[in-house]
Amino acid sequence: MLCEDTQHAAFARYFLELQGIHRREIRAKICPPGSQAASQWVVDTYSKELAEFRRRSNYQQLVHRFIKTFTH
Amino acid sequence: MEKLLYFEAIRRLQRFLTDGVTVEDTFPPSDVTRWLNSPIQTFQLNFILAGQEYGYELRVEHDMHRRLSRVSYEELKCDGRPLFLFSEGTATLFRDDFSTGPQLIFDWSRSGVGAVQPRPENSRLIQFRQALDKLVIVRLNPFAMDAESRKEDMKLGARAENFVSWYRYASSEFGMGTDAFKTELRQSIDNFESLSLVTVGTEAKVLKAHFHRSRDTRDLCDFTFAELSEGQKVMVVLYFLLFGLKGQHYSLFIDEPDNFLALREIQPWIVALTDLIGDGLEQAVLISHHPEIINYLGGSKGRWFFRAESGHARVTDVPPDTGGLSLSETLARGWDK
Repeated sequence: MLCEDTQHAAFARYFLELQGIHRREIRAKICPPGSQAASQWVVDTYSKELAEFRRRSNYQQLVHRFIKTFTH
Repeated sequence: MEKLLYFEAIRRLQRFLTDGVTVEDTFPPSDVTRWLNSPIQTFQLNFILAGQEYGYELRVEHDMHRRLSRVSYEELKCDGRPLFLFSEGTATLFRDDFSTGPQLIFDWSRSGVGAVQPRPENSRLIQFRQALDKLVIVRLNPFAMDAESRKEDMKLGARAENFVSWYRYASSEFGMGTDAFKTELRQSIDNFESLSLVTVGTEAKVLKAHFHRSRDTRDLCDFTFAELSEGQKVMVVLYFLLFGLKGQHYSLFIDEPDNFLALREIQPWIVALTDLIGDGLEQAVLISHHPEIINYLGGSKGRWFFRAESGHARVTDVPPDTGGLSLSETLARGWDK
């Protein structure tokens, strides 16, 4: 998860945990404090993370899991 | 170094106030601040309990030539109003309604607040003392942890060296939390099933961990606590501090909890910790230099220690400007100064 701050991270994590995903399967990356806009950091980091995520072999399985979660 | 001294000061105040230890044993003259010439050390501690602010102050006077120490002043206030005062050898007790109670000549070598017996009219003072007793201040050292317990220990040692003895006490005292604790460990340690205390001889007990032989089998094999890896021992202690103590309103002060943990294990533990704060755990203070903890908690919940030009340690809650780098990377480059 790419999050603007720890509150966003907690909110998203609670949602995913309610959907049955254990917190050990969730990894949060939080925007560092500073002068930049946190929302922009999420957008900028998203493409890099997605590219790396797609390179991994278990990508399809994870995407399937998330799609199931969100359409539940 | 200065961060650790805060923990050490709190630990010593806890011992002085709740264990009946003398002032010379707790605050020896050799520990006086080196770059100050004052023979008096002053400690102040503020607690917020049930919406009320408790302020405690202790002044210890040292005779550097004779290597002696004594309490010169001790005071406990609640919302700015007195509950206890010791000055010039005389202690004054105040009731819960802050009216003046008995006065007595008291020992200069011990804490008066720690010596007061519980009575219906001094419940505030006792509440403060109980809260102080519920601070767990620890720097985990798996190499120092004993393998067996000869008796129950009510307090965890400074390096968690007596974890098995403390677990023996806490698991019987707070039995409710131990199931959740074992469930968490099953998620965290591969093939882990449970822990049990096994009697050895007449008094001693050994803590044993039961593991499945493989993922696919229900057969168990046992290891003593001493036979676990350093990382596994630390995981057991860290998760017991969270889930074994859940609901007991403890506060945790942990120095470098990330030591000995695998990188992947740190964030799940931090997340579990932050979830429990306010829901069974009162407060947690972590000292850490680990990038994982700095990046996760440093931004919104961090306190930053630095040494001012005067030489004194200072603390701020304003994180350094990272300009887009991660917090840990900013610190690593020295760009926080």
